[in-house]
Amino acid sequence: MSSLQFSRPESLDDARVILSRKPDATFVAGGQWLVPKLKSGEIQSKQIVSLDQISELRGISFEAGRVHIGASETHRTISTSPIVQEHAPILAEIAAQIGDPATRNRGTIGGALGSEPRRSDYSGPLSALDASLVTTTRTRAASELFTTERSARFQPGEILINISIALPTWGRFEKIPHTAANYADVAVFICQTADGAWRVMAMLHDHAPQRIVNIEDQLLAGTQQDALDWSNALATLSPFDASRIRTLFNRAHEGRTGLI
Amino acid sequence: MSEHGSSSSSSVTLTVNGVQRQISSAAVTALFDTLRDEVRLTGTLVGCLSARCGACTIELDGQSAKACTVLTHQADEAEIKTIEGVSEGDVLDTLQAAFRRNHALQCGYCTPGMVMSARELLRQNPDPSETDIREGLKGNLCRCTGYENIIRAVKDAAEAIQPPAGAAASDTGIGAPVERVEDKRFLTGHGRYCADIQLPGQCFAAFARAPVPHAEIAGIDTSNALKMPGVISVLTGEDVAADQIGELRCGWTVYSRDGDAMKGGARPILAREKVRFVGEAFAMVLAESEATARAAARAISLQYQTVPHNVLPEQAGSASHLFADAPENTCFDWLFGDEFGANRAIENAAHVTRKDLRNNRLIPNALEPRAAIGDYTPASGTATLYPTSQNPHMARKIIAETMGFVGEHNLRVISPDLGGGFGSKIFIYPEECACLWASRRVGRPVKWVATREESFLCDAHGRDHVSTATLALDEDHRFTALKVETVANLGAYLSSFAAFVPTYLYGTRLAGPYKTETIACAVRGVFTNTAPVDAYRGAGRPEATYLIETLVDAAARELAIDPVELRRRNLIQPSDFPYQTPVALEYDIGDYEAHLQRGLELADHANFETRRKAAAARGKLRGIGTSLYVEACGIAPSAVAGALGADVGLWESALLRFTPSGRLQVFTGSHSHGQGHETTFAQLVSSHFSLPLEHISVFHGDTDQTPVGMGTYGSRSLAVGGSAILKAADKIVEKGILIAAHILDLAPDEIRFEDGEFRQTGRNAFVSLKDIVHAAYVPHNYPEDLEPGLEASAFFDPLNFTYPSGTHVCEVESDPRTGHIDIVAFTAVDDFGKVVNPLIVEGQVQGGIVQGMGQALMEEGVYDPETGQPVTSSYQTYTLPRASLRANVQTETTYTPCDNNPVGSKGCGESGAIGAPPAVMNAITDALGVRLEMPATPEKVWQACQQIRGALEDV
Repeated sequence: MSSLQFSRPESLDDARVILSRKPDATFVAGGQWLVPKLKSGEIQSKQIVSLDQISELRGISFEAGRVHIGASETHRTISTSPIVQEHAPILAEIAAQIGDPATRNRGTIGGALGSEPRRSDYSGPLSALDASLVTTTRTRAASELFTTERSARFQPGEILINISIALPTWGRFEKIPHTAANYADVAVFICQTADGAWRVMAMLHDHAPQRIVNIEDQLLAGTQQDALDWSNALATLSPFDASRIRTLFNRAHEGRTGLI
Repeated sequence: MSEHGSSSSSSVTLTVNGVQRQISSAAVTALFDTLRDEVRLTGTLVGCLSARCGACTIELDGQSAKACTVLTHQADEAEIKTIEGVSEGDVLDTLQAAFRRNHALQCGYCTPGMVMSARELLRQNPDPSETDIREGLKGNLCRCTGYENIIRAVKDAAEAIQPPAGAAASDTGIGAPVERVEDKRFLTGHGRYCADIQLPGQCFAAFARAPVPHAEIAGIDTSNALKMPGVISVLTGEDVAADQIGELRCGWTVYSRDGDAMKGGARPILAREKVRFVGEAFAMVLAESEATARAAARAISLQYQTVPHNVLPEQAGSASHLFADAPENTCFDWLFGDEFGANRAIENAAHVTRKDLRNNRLIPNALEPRAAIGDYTPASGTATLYPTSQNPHMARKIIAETMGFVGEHNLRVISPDLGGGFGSKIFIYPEECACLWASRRVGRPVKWVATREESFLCDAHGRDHVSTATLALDEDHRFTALKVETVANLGAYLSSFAAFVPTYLYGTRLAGPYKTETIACAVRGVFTNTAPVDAYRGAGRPEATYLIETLVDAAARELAIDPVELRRRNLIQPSDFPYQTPVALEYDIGDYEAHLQRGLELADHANFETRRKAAAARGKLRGIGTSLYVEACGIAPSAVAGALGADVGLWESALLRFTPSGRLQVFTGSHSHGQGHETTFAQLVSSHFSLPLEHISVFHGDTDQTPVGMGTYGSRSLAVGGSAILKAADKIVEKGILIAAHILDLAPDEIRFEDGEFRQTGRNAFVSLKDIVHAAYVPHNYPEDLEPGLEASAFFDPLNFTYPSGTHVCEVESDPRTGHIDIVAFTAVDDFGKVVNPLIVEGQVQGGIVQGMGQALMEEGVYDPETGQPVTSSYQTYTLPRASLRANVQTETTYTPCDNNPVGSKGCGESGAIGAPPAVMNAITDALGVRLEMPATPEKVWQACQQIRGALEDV
């Protein structure tokens, strides 16, 4: 049998040492996506590096007007973090609705972005909130991650360290889960940024989240919900998806009451 | 940092249920493997390996986690709690007790994970709302209960509701809602499922499966697999042929309208010349570990030439033939009833309703994947097989015949606890045969456990009919004829009951509760390049009921009369019984108006239009739908089965044995996999002998222990198997009377048995049952001509089917903007005859209804017609009802007696799956004004709403 190895580094330096010897190692974070695929043989790897003990990937903080979240923080921790709840309560709310309780207990934000980022409930919010990703090799905009094809999303050996977001003045998130798989089949995230700009994000299946600029402009111009002109807003979507996105937008928009 | 060396495994420290252990583990070992195989705690169960079923939920450092998503090495130094660590000794904790009290478990397979998730929920939120509970449990699938009782149990536990004082089991007899005997082992993680069993020296099997739907096999390259360390052997169809192992055949013969017997369909243990559906096994790997076996199976490559395939029943002729002797891929072209009369009635009808209907393919998805262990002992020529089987005796007979190398008398089949069946575990499958055969080949026990993907690919599927149905009505709106033309998809091979389900279990049910004068049914059974199709909960009756109830509703709409009124006008009336239907069955008794009336009352049918208007004001489309059904259960009178082409009789058996100390053992030939036989059967004899339940034990599933039986399916266990138990009980009483007469020095006819005593009629002299048992085993003062001992066996063969019936009323609301359907109310009023345990009956009804809702709203097994590949082969792609589905079911029963069996019961296991789909679909049709095909997914509902958009306000 081939030699299977498991490493659980406690620092990024340790991880780099391991990676220098095993450049094709597979990272595991919370395991929600990867471990079943390892078990089924869909993914085969001879070297597993668990990221869950790396201290630099931990921690949630508020600095320089942004919330910073370590990549190994679980959805559960994000949803219950006093810092997130105080500064970006919508993110706590989103994290509290991901998957199911056991998934939230183990699954991490880094794992979600490292495996199926477009299916992540975080995709629209991170795109809207000017999120940036700090990795072992670069700092990049989160939105770029979602538009990049799978094979090019991360460089070999690149580890996501943390995610920071700008704070919206308020935000709302509405989703319709996929009936079988439970990720968001369609979802809408809306918010206003600190400078008053609107962000309206449509999230669909496994597509990159999409800004609906047309609607953002109308909202900025003060158009009321009932008077919004959607005729050119969702032209690329199927009529069914367009209807659901519009319905979720209305729910989200109505849900802003009390937040503004 | 910890970095482990170049060895294939290294050590981790786990604290499991308070006990610290050092365990050696390979890098990609998941925690459930370690818990089950190394720590030997088998309460943590595996249902999907994809983090979607929740059966393996445990607690890791105080939080719930799915053990299939945790690498054992990631749990190093962690505190783990499994279901075995929840209760103190054998005392259930508050939550476990609430599960038991609310009958929140049936087969027990989801139960450990469900309990662990419920614990997490209550830790985070000690006072959860119903919505919170549904959200907290949505990661856990339950296929049996329909979730309502689970949600109730969690609420109860949150409120720490204690059972009322003195309520505990004061009455354990017939009609009492007794808490189930089997629950304690399931709730504490001590169920014993096939995959939990480990035999010394066992090796592991995995199967290489066809990647294409239809191909001639040119060669099989096993060289890469054979090179892998730990691989013991690779076997192919050539080896099967060399050992002269037989093929699996259908146990029923159906004849075409031209008199020819059905054609084709024999199934090899491993494909040899052709593969006929994606997932068909063509090679078997035996290895030292399951992981190695599976990896080696993936390394086997099939060389093949594809031939044209087809997956759709209506296009069966388009594929090249699957079997040389079945032209156009037609297995049979069956005609039943009076086709000439039906045609004439349709020509002369005042009104004709004709519909094209599809009954969607369903994949049963018992939460426990199928498994088998074969163990052949060459020195004695005996063998033991542990399959996941609903009928172990039938498995023994067929497998012994198919194998050839072991006689039925030398083959012991043990089917232990089963994690759900719903029909899919009735049949004899190639894998269990292969395990037994391979065990003889390698001289070791051979164990195989299916992955969830294999369950999707290879378990027998259900339904998949395409029909044109015509209903003729006269001027008074009476049904003069029903004509049905169906193409039934049989899949690539004929499974054990496959030919019977879409013919006799279907055509004979087409009268339903109505006095239709003439009925004709033509069914073409066809082969396609899909998984075999066989009985799934209801088996033929859901298909028939969906068809009848859709047509009746459509006719009412066309005639602009109330669908309930049209049904009423055509119902068989109580004075009509016994009622000879035009499709062979003679209904013994029923009162359909009674449950229709009660169902409409409970559903507040009269005030529906008010609710519809209120919903419209909220932008919702609301509809109400009704369905009535009559099913034929208590399967079956053997003579009738034989006349219909069965190779077997369908009686049931029982053996009752008093032990010398007066305890009672009940051995049944049927099998329990969630239905609660261990409780219900004990209640029967508890009543009969006035014995406390704890003095009775019920045994099933082991062919060396139980009398030859016919297994559990077709809602037959209580009506047929329970009746065998009562017959055996009567024999014991008869013998007891002889013993008592001797002791009391009376004539036998002076003695009656009542309240647990043999009493002199009209006098005070008596002997207790316990003393009679003692006398039978210590026969010092005993009749000379009587054998000692006190046991009796009995077989019961019913003279007729039983005919449960019911009315289901469903009310839905749809959101035209999203296409989402809410079940706002569902009422089921059923007549099951005598109810032995109302708790269990309600659980069966709830669970069946939610499976029926699954068919109506979300479930559909799909193959891509272009590629022949299955599209729905995981829990990511096949939608099942979860706790988030609010089914809002209320149930009640009405009663007419059933004199066809001594228990007086009619059977309840399938009613929900039969009645619910048409009730739900008729409600949706009523809401939308457009009839949809099942499943009514949000997209289909939304599309329908677009058609009627003009009628809606802008939404």
